[in-house]
Order: sequence, then C-alpha cells, then structure tokens
Amino acid sequence: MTWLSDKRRLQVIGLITLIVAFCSIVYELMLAQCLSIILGNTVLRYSLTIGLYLFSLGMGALAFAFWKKAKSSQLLLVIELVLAVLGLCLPFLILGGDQFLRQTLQGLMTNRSSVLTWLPSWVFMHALIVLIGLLSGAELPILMEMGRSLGGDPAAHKVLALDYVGTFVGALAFPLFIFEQLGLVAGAALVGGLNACAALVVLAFYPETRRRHRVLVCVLSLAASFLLIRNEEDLRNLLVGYVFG
Amino acid sequence: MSLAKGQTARPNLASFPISTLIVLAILTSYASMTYELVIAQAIAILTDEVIWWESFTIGAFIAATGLGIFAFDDLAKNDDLRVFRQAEYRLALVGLLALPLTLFVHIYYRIYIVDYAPHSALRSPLNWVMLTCQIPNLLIGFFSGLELCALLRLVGNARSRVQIGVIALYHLGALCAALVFAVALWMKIDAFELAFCAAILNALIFFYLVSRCQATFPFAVRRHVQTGLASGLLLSLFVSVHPGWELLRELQMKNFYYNNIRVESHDGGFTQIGPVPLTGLLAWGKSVPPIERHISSYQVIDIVRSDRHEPEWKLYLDGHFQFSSETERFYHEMLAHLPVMLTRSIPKELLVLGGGDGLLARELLKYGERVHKIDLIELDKDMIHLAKALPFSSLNDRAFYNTKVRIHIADAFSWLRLSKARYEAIYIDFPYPYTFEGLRLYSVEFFNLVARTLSAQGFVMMDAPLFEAGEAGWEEHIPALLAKAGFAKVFALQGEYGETFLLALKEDRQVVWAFQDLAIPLATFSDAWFTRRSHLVELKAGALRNTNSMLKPQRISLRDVWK
Repeated sequence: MTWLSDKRRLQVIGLITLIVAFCSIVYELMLAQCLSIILGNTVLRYSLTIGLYLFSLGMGALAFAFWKKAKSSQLLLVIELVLAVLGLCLPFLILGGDQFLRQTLQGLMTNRSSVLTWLPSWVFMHALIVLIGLLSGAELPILMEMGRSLGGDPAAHKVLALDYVGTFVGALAFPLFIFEQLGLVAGAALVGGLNACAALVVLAFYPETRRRHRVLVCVLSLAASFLLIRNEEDLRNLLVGYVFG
Repeated sequence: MSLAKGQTARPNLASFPISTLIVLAILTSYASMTYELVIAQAIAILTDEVIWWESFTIGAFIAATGLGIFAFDDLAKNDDLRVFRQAEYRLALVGLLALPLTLFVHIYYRIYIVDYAPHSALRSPLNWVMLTCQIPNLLIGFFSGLELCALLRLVGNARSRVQIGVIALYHLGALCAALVFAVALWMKIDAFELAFCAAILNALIFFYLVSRCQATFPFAVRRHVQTGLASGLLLSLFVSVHPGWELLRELQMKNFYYNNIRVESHDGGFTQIGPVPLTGLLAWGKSVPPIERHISSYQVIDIVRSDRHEPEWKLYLDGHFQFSSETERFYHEMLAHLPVMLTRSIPKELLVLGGGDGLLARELLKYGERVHKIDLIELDKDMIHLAKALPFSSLNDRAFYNTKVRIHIADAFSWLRLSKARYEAIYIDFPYPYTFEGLRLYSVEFFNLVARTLSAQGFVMMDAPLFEAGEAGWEEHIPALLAKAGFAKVFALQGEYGETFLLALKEDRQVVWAFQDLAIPLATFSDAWFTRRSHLVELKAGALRNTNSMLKPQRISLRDVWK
C-alpha cells in the first residue's frame, strides 16, 4: 500500500474497521438468535451469549498481544477469511450441527433423554461463540496497531472510535433489517460476504498478504455469499426440512 | 514529594498492586454489565420486543462506553483517580435508579399517553416512550468507559501486556455478570436485587478510592466535605430505594391492571371514568385488591381479582390476558369438544401442548374411560404447581391429580423434536405470539414437528389469532403454515368471545357440522347452538411463498392492544 498516501491508507483501515465491527456484533446477535431457536428462552440466550462473546473478545485481544506486530496484516487477512467462511454457514453450522449431533448420539444411546445426547451439541454451539469471539476480538488491536503505525496514537483512537460506531450500527441493523428482512440464512451470508469484502480490501492494499489459496478462498466466499442470498428460501427450506422435518 | 496548591498526589503503579487492579477490573465490569442486562430485560418485558431491546441496549451501551473512553482525557486533566472515583459514585446512583425509572415511565405512559381505543392502541408509542429508559444505560456505558480508561492509566504503559491483561480480565467481569444473571433467572431472583448488589459494589469501590485520595490542607477539608455529602446521599438512597422499589412495583402492577379507562352508563348517557392521575395513584392503590404475582424462570404469572365483580379472577402471563374464571368454560369446551363432534371420533391418546392451567385437561377427562392417556407438555413447572393449588384446582377440578394426565415439563418445540410417539389428537393451548418465544410456536418448523407427531387420521385443534388486531396477514399465514406442514384441510371458527379456533386434518376428509351427544356435561353445545352459528370456514392456503419461519419471521407477532 506504499503507493497510497498515509491519509488514504488510514481511510482504508477505517473502512475495514467499520465493516468488521459491524460484522462482529451481528455475529453475536445471530448466535444468540440461533440458540434461542433451538433452546428457547430468548432473554437467557441473549444474556449468556453477550457475556460469553464479550469475554472471548477480551481473550482475542489478549492473544494478539503475543503476536508479531510486523505480520499484523497477514493475521488480519486470515481472520477475515476464517470469519467469512464461518459466517456464511453459521445457521447451518449451529442448527444443522445440533441436529446431526443429537441424531447421531440418540442413535448410539439407549436412553434418548440422557444428558450425553444434548451436552456435546451444547458444548459445540458455545465453542463456536467462543471461537468467533476470539477471532473478532483480535481484529480491533490489529487494526489499531496498523493505524498507530501510520499516524500514531490519534490514528489508533480514530480506529477505536470507528469500531464503536460500527458496533452500534450493527446492533441497530440486526433487529431492524437483517433478521426481519433477510432472515438468518441470507443475513449470515451477507455478513460473511462483508468479511470477505474486508479480506479483499486487505489483499488489494497489502501485497505482502497475497497467496494464491487466500485469494481463492476470498473469491469463493464472495461467490458463495451471493448464491446464498439469491437462493435463500430454498436453502432455508432445506435446512428446516433437515432439522425439523 | 511536595504538592502544588490543590494538587493531589498522583497515584502510581506501586500504590496499586496488580492484584488490586485485576479485582477492580473484574468488579467494575461485572457491575456495568449487570446494569445493562437488567435494563434490557426490564424494557423487553414491558414492551414484548425482546430482540429489539436486547440488541439496541447492548449496542447503545458499547457506543456509550466508547464515548466515555474518548472523553476521559478532557475530563481527567491529569487526575485519573478523581474521574475514577466520580464514575463509581455516579454508576452506583444511576444503577440504583435505572429500574425504578423504567417502572415510573411505564406508569406515566399508561396514565397519560396510551390510547385505549383498540383501533388506535396499536399506534400508541410504547417503544418510543421506553427509549427514555435508555438514558441510564447510556450514562452507565459512558461512566464504564471512564472507569476502564482510568484503570488502564493506573496500570501505566499504554502498550504493556499488563494493560492488555487488565482489558481481558475486564471482559471476564462481563462473563461473570451474564452467568450470575442466568442463575438469577433460574432461581427467580428479582432483577432489581442484582442491580442493587452491583450498586453496592460500585459504592464500595468508591469508598475504597476515596481512602486512596491524598490532598493537602485546606483542600483536604473540601474534599472530605464533598465525600461526606456524596456518601450521605448514597447511603440514604440505599436505605430508601428497596422499600421504594417494592411500593413502585406494586403501583405499576395495579396501574396496569386496574387503572384503565371505563365507560359507565347512566340516565344522561355515558361517562368516561379514569384513569386516576399520578398525583392520586398512591391513595387509589390502597383501594384496589392486591395482585398475586408469581415469577417463574420463563414468565410473570399474575392472578388478578376483579375490583368490581367478585369472585371473578383472571390469569395474565407477562401482562397478557389468558382467561377469566367466569368465562373460561365456553372457551375450553369449544377447544376440547368441538373437534370430537365434527370428526365424530373420540381420540384415545391425546397430546396437549401448553394448557398448564389444567382447564383443557379438565374437559378432556370428561370422556372417562374412552380416553386412555393425555400427555401434557408444559414449559413452566411453576404454572403446574399453581394449577394444582387454589384457586386453579377448584376451577380445573383437580385435573392434574388424575393419573391419566402425564405432565412433561419441557419446551414443546424441543420435546416434539425428540419424541417418536404418535397421537390421535393434538391440542395446542399456547398463549398468543406476542414475542419471539411465541412466534417459535407459530412457525413452519413447529407445525412440521406437530404434523410428524400426529397420526394419519388425527386432528389438531388450536386457538390461533387469525383475525386479531395487529400485524396483518395472519389469515393467510396460518393456513399456509399448516399446508406447508402437510395438513390437507384447515377449518376456522370464531368462539363466543371472538377468539378463533382452527381444526387441521392430515387426511383430506370432510367434517360433520351437527351436534353430537357425547354423554358428558356441557354448557356450550346443543342443536340450537349449531343451528344458530355459521358453519365452519375452510381456509385455503393460497400461493403464499414466504411463511413464518424462525429463520425468517414474517413479522406477524401480535401487538397486544391492551398492553
């Protein structure tokens, strides 16, 4: 990104920050919503998910402290690609994964209501919350470090400000638009696609991050996002048929 | 070290051990997160908009935290401890008053703002009014940002790993708050108690920070006077807010259930009476019967005695009317016996989803030996306990003590997913879908499970909000839901008091619209009843593509016109 001025580079980092902060809070709310569908008791699911997710965000930030700062852009790209892939298939992972685990374990157990039939699924779903929280938590210190390297502490503070703005916009967008207008399948595809867009921006402006397989994953994620949104109803019916049929 | 005039000795890392900072980080975060969770829950319960308020509250809290972080430098002016101290004190104040404010705003809304005419009640701006209850949440977020920044400054180097560790443990406090909140829900502890304990934490931290404050004379005197006044205010609040909260909560309940507009007729015409204004609420509250409230892990159960027609009492769940002791018999007889008459068959093995009040079970048990078993799925075990005691047990004829009724305490949705049993009849007696919890039970996913659990010749009978005021489209969506789930026929009928019943059959067969003597005592049905009433309406599913799915709800949750 040496051909860009510092101001432009900071704007690029600001744009990435807005996108990833938006996606981070929407993932958290989607996870809470998926758990509400399976387990019921919406208030409890939201509360537990918020607490676990915030804790994982903190752990993700802590993990970054031990990372080599010189390779921040590479780490950011890998995180965005992993979040893009996870995000695209989030409802399928949670709902489909729960159904698969329960069916498999019920087939193995003689006592169908044994705790071992649902506990692995419960652990799996909450492990996903922790994983997405860890990855999202590492994003902000990476972006602040990238901003700081260009413009010192004031630039890092601006990145932090944009992170909060993105979070607030995402918290409004989820109940008002994403969940009602798009639904969970298309909404997850949109958010996964946004993470893929963030990865694309990193690839475009940080040449040192370019590897063939990363570019391929990024392009495939964007394509998958488009296809998922376009065929939302069919895919939703497929998922519903598998899980609740 | 000599200090300039008015300057306090700046605390440094040596004066705050790491262990102290870690404990402070966890406790401050715990308290702030607790406030956020209880505020979100309180507003969500009053408005039925759980998803919106949970999302908005956390988003606003995080945004306000960011504002606090940014404002720290301008406010601190090199005295980090002062800002930290003030933030703790203000958090204790705001945290204590947040929930009482929520109830007060709701009382005010019910008296002065809500429009009681049903056709315009839907436009009553409940959610806009409750936005004012976000002010404490924003303040709490702002002060939390200040305290986080102050903590980090006390650590020292902006890039040190210790600072990042403190941030990480700050988030651990948030996790602890969520876990404690979950346990409190399970143990049915009032959310106000959580906020009260969190405020005590903030107050204790405030006093601790006061003790660390050093100032030279005469500024120490001013500092001590300020601290004394602040402490006095805090302590008096702590002493008075608890009984004040109990009184406010009782007033809010009574205001909600009794303080509504009434129309009384007289010789000259009609007179509109009420509601009692705010200034007279306290005295008026003593004149109305107390409300029996039971808080379960899932809902608020209120038994409301009539203030005008003794001995009538009514059941409300989360503020939504369920039944009246005077009129419930008409509803439950229709729900239980109409499908039997229409299909000309008495099912032997029945599944009842919901119906935790035992009134539907009372009706089904009238068939005696002709019914072999009734499996009843109820989410809330507290509801079952209530149903086994007075006044429910006198109304439901102690139905839950009958050995034919097998009660399963479970979420109906989850139970159906796991069940392999088949039933000849499924009765669905759920509350209306005012929230996402209810919407789960009016979704294509749920009806898929119901269809799977029903035998081929069986029927499903339910009470559904087909023509209720609210978001339009129920009359299209519910038949579409049932058709998508595999039901061949869906019939609708309106009950005595406007409620709508749906009868769904998996088989493509007709029903007989005529009275049948079932050899059981009935108050509702007779030949004349069938002659007087219009016939059943068969609903066609139409070409509706997007039916209500939990993965993409069609926004057809109801707005309760009376809430």
